Amino acid sequence: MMSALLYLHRVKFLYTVGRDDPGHTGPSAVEASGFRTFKNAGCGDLQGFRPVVGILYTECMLSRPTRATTKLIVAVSALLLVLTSCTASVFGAERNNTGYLVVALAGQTGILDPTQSSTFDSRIVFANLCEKLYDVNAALRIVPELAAGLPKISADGLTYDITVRAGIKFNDGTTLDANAVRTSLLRDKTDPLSARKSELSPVTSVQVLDPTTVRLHLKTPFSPLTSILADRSGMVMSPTALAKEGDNFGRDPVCVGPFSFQAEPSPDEIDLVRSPFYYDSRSVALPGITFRVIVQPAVRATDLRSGDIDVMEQAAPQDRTTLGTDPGLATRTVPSLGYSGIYVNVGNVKGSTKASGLPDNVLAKYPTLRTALDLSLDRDAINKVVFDGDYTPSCTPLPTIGQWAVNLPCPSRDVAKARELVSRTGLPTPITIDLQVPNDSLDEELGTVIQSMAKDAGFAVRVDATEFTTLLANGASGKFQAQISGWSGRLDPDQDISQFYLPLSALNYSGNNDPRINMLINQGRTTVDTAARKQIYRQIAQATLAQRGIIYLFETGLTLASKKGVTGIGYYGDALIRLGHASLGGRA
Amino acid sequence: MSAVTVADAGRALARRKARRRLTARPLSVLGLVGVVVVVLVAILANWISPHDPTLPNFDQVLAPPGAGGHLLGTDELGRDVLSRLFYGSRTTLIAGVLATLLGTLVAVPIGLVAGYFRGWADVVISRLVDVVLAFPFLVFAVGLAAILGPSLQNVVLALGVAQIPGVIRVVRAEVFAQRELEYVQAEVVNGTPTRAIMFRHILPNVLNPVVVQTSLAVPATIVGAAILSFLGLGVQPPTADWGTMLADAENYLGQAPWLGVFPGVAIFLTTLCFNLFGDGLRDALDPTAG
Amino acid sequence: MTRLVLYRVGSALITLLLASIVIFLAIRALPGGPAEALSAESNDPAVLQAINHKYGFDQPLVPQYFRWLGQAVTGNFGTSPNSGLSVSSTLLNDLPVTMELAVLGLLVAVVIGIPAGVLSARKPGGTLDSVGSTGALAGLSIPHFWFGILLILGLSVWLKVLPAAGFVPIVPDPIGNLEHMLMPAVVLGTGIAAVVMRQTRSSVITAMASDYVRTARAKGLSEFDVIGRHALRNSLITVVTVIGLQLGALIGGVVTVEQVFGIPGLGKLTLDSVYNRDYPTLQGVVLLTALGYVITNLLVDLTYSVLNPRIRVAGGAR
Repeated sequence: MMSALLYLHRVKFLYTVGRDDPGHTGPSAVEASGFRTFKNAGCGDLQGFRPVVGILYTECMLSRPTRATTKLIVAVSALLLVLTSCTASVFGAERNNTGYLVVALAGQTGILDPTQSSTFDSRIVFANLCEKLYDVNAALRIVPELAAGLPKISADGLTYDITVRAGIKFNDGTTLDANAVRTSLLRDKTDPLSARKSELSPVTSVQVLDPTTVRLHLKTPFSPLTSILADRSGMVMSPTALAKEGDNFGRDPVCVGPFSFQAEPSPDEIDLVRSPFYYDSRSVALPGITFRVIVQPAVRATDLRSGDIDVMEQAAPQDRTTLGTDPGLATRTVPSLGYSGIYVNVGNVKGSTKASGLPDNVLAKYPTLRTALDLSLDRDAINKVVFDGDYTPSCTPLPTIGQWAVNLPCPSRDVAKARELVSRTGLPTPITIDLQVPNDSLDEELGTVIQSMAKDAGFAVRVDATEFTTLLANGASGKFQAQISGWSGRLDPDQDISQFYLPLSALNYSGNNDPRINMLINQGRTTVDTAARKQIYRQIAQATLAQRGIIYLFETGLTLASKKGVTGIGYYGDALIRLGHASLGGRA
Repeated sequence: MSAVTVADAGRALARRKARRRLTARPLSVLGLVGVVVVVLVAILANWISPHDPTLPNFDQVLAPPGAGGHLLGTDELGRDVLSRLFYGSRTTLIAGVLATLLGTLVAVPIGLVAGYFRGWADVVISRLVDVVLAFPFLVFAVGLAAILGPSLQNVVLALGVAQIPGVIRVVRAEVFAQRELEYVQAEVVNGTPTRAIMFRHILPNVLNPVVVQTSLAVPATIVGAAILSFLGLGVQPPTADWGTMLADAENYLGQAPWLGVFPGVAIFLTTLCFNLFGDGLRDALDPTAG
Repeated sequence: MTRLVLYRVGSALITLLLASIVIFLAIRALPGGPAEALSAESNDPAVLQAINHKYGFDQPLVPQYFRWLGQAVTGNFGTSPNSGLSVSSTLLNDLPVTMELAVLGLLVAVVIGIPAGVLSARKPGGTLDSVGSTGALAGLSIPHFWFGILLILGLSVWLKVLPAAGFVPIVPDPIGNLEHMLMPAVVLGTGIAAVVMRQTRSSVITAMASDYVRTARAKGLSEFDVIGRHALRNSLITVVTVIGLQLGALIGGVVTVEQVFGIPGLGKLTLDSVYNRDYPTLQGVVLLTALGYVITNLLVDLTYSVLNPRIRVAGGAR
């Protein structure tokens, strides 16, 4: 699109020329009024010949212009070109980030405020910008980051004592202490826009014991808390910056991190610069990082191959082979904590935060149909065809990696049994099921494969490609029969389960309300002993597999691709990209 | 009404002349032949397709052209590309023709009113037309798909609405001109009811430019439908559709470039044929234009 | 004249106002709001409410609209709830990218369209004319996005001479920038080139039959001089106007071209803000688009009235 301004210049000039040219305009002509035939009226009206998207047949005649006109046209055209490059250079000037590592993200980050943020990709930026009290290592075990050690938990599980490391400075030069931790946690708990409220709700108060120690008081034991402090709730924000910026903290976030915020010129670009205040700044090799949002996987892949970017996340399975065989590139695929599956509306009648009921949905009325649908699917074949084998077939909310892994055997495809279950319901076949899928090629492909497999068992699946926000809104309000959806996964199993199964939870799109699962979830989060918890989650996994309010299909496998010269990237099952120790090899 | 009889005779003569002008141009005839072929393919898709266009074969995905009895290969789910092309012509033609018809049918009466009554009716209609034209079409199409879900009906609806302003303008401009002509003035003096003047006397005389506009709108609408499908706003899977085939192919360009070629060729040739024919039609019906 | 200008400007303002009301209501009719769209991973109803409250989306529509309008006329389009960035700065950031694409696209159109039009016009109905006219129709018929895919396949995947997609800012890397913009500009320019060619052809044909060209011929000027100095030069203004009128085509084309080539411009911003239900950004970008359209139309109409009073625009004189 041309800027309005641009057009203004061009046509205004024509207008002036015309008026100054006595050969064409006289006072009498100007005053001439009356109705003329419209057929040859101004070209603007012939715009009617613009058929829909793009093409215009407009051919209209003007009276004879002068030589001066033409010269001016050429001059203005030249001016326009210069103008364009000038504006481009003015607005592009601050982006001269030589030597920065360019990382392509798969989605926009949203607001860069640890308290308010709720997107997956913001966590990748934060992994380099905002350190947390705790972090995970390559084995997905929780390790201290800003804290000096793991929290000291009282025997009843109701108090957590956390000591922060001494001598750590925020990226504005101020010092991190127990008070700062308290300020951040309270903001997370009280800010009206906080997306952290529910995960911190068991914490009743935060007490500063001494300059480096805080004590968290809980109303009930809450085992996931340490893992929650290893995510956005554990990020400590500079109290000075918070006091100064308030609600606008996300426009210039100040935390402790190897990099500090430099600029966010657009929703699609974020620049970070190496921090001079970082406690381990000597081991930070990169001068800075530019995150660039490139949503289409194919575009990310071609950009990496042509050298415009250095690192990309979430390479599409189709591109992995091509990227892997490129001699200049390196790829690594990790099984992640995330999953994808089919949410079945089993009890969401008025919305996920309202009391559940029995929706008008055969899959809700006949639980055996959910089993039949599951049995009609061949997870291995889907994985091979749609995801090039990058995913791991799975049928529970629990990951197949890390300390909480539960590897239950998944049901294999059994069309005969599925047909039998279908016929036992006595319903006329084929049974129509509306499956909402996000309207991107890969998800539509997944839907189409499910459709063709389920057909053998007597289902007529209608693949309803739905725009993503509509899909979410439909999920929350219960306007769906079944949807394909996914979750990026969290460290603690409770965070992968409770929000999707406990009644009245916002993310419980399915409207699950199974008394036994609810009881087990509460047991799981209040049990402190790890071994005992593990047993509980095994039971939950079995219960959810039997209930099938969510039919889990895969553990998502994620591929990070980078130039060979880029070394030292931390990329684990949580799918974050840690660049504190990365370097650009020969270039750096 | 002698004026009308003379006008009728004049029109018949003009039609004969137009037909002669149209058939005298080999390229236009070629375009017409192409259009007929596409229509035949769409009608006969059931009989001429070698395979079921929606039946996946997971053991034979991304087969190159010629392999395993698939003349144009298979797609990412092992479906026969040639059969999908044949069936895809249906959605393409439906979208192109129905949307144009819809737009024209809605727009012609509005344009008549604006052009005949002028004054406030014209001012209001012209402003509304401007608003539709100033509004980014894709925002409208995406919004419609978000509310109603992507489907062929909604593609037709979105593209049909997008046609309306153009046709209104053409009709309005023509009616402006016609209204001042003697035969209309005579009817007014005779006390013929306004509706009769508009529909029985003026309408037949403004149809030529409308036909021209329509014939050129069909190919543009076909491309528009392909764009919508390409953006994920088109038909529901597994329906075969050229734009959707291209969108899916984008992910496989590295492994199976042919998937990105054939549907595009189909869209291009169909559009070109419609354009060649429409162009000839325009020259034939409206020799003064361009 | 003054009345005509006032009438036209008034109409343009009304169009703008109506367009802004339509987009204001339309985006709010879509399922889900900015709060839902941006909190995909934790949509606590209390937080959604707080977000809606912070940005005033919970207010009644009429005062909400007028508040927005009041700020918009001062150039303040509000803050995007999605990114927390000011909408004006996002628009200013993306505008030059799209502008560059549009200018380069027009350049391609002119470079191809004008010579082709002149060659076709020399002998209407001749071989060159047939080839040129059919070529123009082909240019009109080729779907942007598919042409883009073909170019990527040919020049990037197969020959590996140009980067397939993406965008590099012009400042640190002008050559890289041009490399990235070349294919998108060609794709965008092709359709417009066809229109330019047809317009040039018809204008030149008309000009060749006119008195002053006949006079020039009589003076014994060479064919090159006749066409170049007289016929073409006098046709240019029409051609330029037609190019100006291609704004609508440009907007339509830019979205898909930006999509295929992954260019972060206004077209992409438009689609993103619909998908994200980013009310303020979408309202801003649609208003900007409509403004461009309305101003072009307005100035074209006025220019016409001034340059050629014989074709006075209806309505203006009343």
